[in-house]
Amino acid sequence: MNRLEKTILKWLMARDDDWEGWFFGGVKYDKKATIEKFIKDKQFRKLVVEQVERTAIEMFEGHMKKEGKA
Amino acid sequence: MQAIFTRPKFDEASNFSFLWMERLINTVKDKLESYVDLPADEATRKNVEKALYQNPEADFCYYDHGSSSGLAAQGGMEYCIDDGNVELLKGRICYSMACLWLSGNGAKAYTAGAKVVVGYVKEFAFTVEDEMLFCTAANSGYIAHVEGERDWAKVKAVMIEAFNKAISETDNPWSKTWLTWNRDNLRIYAPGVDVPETKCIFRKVAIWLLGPRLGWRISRTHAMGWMLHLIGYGITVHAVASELYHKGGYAEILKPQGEWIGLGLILIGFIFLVQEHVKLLGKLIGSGVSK
Repeated sequence: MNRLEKTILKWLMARDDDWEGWFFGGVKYDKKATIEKFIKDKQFRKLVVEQVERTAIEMFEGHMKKEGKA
Repeated sequence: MQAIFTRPKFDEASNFSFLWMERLINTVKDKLESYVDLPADEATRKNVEKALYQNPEADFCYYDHGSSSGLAAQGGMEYCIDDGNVELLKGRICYSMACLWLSGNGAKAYTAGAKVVVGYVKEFAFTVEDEMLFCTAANSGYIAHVEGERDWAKVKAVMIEAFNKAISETDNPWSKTWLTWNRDNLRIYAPGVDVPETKCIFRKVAIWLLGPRLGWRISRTHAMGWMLHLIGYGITVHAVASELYHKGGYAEILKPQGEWIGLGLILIGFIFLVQEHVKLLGKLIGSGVSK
């Protein structure tokens, strides 16, 4: 796991045990199931990392736009 | 404006989609001439088909589980919309919040003549903590439409903006991630907005040659028929030319032989038939023949 993946995993592990969780494709994932999927499912991990990177890129691009520098 | 709201409810995920559609109905119902609500046990294939037959002008709205094969009916054991009855969506605006529908059957709905098809090409994801933000973004397009927006490119812009607003409103990075995911997988199949994508090279050729409406409807058998006919014709021309060459060289080939007249007539006849066939297909797509 790279640094970003480790950070995401750390964030997931820091959720409360009664974290309400999330749904993906109709399946509900609680804290334990999400961590398990993130560790074991390489494709899912890749997908999450891609989306996180995309969100981060947009955040910076959006800020530049706001400043009128984009 | 009329609408049919279909909202099965049989598991944890559909509890949310059911609620989201309820919020949608409550927001738009006063602006609709009439609507049919098919909640939970009423969201069966039979009831959906009946509602579509009885309300030929109504928009079709669906929130719950989907796949590339169709939209799930109550209980999830069958589809209420799939390849068997997708023609019922012809001429309608179809608005969905369901996984994957636009990657298969939703695209077919559009190519079968639905005016507009809104939905997602991948799984729809949401966090429980921020479900209201996800719901607001998912509902935003139909609300904009009912409030009078007829330009679907603008409706898509409204939805993208709603997702972006939700992304900026939440502090939860997991929610931000999946809001971005849903936003990027949103498609609106409508003239001038999105068109169904295909990886099949033959389909691409058919779309390029015949346009999206016809190109998407050509079946594999149809394409195979064309290919066999053209290859067979080419082989025949080559064989006849070869025979004539052995008989008397190029001079023999260039003479007005019976073989050439026959092949020429077959070609002209074939062009006429194709022309009529394309016209007929166009008429079938344009009218409600299959309804």
